[in-house]
Amino acid sequence: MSIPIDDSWCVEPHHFSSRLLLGTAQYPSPAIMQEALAVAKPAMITVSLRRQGSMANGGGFWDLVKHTGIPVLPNTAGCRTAKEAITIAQMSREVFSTPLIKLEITGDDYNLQPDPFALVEATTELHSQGFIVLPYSTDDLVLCQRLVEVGCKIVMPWGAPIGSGQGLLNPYALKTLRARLPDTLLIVDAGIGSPSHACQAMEMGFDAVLLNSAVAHANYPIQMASAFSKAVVAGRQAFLAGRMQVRETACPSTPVPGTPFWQHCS
Amino acid sequence: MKIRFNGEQVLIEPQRLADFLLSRVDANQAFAVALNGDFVAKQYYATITLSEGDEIDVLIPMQGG
Repeated sequence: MSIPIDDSWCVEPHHFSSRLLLGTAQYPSPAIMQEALAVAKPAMITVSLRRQGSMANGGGFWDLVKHTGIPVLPNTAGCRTAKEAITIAQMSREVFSTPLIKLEITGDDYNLQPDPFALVEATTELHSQGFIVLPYSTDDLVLCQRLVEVGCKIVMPWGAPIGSGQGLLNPYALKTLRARLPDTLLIVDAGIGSPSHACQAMEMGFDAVLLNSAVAHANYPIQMASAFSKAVVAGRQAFLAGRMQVRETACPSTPVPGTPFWQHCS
Repeated sequence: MKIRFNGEQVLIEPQRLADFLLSRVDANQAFAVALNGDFVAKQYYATITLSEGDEIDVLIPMQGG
C-alpha cells in the first residue's frame, strides 16, 4: 500500500502541487517578500486593489509579482457590502486577467468577521457573471453549505480572526465542515500563526491553507516561509497516510515477550 | 465643476472620463476604474462624459492578504 504519487489539485485554470497559499502584504521589504515566495513556492498569492497613491510603489509591486510567475488570487479586502465586493471583483478581473476572486466582506470591524448574508448575496451574483469565487467565511456549517449551494467549489473558512495568529480556535467546527462537505475544496484561511497550525489543518484533511501575517511578521520571514512550506507537506502526507487510532490506555511499543527480569505470576 | 477623485474633491472642466484619466493616471500602470461605485470597463472610458458630483476611483494592484 502507498499514498498517491500525484497529489496535485486544481482551481481552474490552474493545477498545483503546493497546498500553501501566501499573502503578499506587510513584509519588511519587497526583496524579503520575493525571497519568501521563492522559498515557499506557494500555489497562489493574494493581491488587492487600492487607490492610486495610497501606498508607495504600487506599480513596482505589480511588476515584482508578475516576475514571480505565481498565479494571483485577488481579494476584496475592506469591502463591507455585496455591491462593493462585486465592483472590486469586476475591477480585479480586468486588472489581473483572472476569473478568480477571494471574496472578503467584513461584517464586524472588531474581529473582521465575514458577513455571511452579504457573502451569499455577492457569491450568487459573481457566479452569474462568470467568476470563480473563493469566499472567506466563518466556520459556520450552514453558511458554508449555502455557499456551496450557490455555486462555490471552494470555501475558505477561518481558523481564527485575520492577523490574530491564534491558530484553529474551533477544531470541532472545522472537522464538521470537512466531514459534511467532502466534495468541496476547503482551505483554512486566516488566523494561522505557526507552522504547527498549518500542519494541524492539513492533518484534518483540509485541501490547503492560506496565510500571510504568520510569515510576514515572523522575525525571519524567509525561514518561516520555508517552515510553513514543510509543515503543509507534512500535514498533507500525514492525512493521506492515516493517523493511528487514539487509545484510552497505554500500550507498550517494545515487545513484552522476552522482557528481562520479568516473571509470570503463577 | 466639482468631482471627487480617489476621495478628494477636484475642480475640472466638463470632459470625458478618458480625457480625465489621461491627465491623472500613468497609462503604463495597470489600473481599473469605478464611477460612482460602479465598475467601468476600459472600452467605455471614451463614451462617458463626467458630471457634477461624480466620484471616480482609480485602483491599482497592491499587496494583499
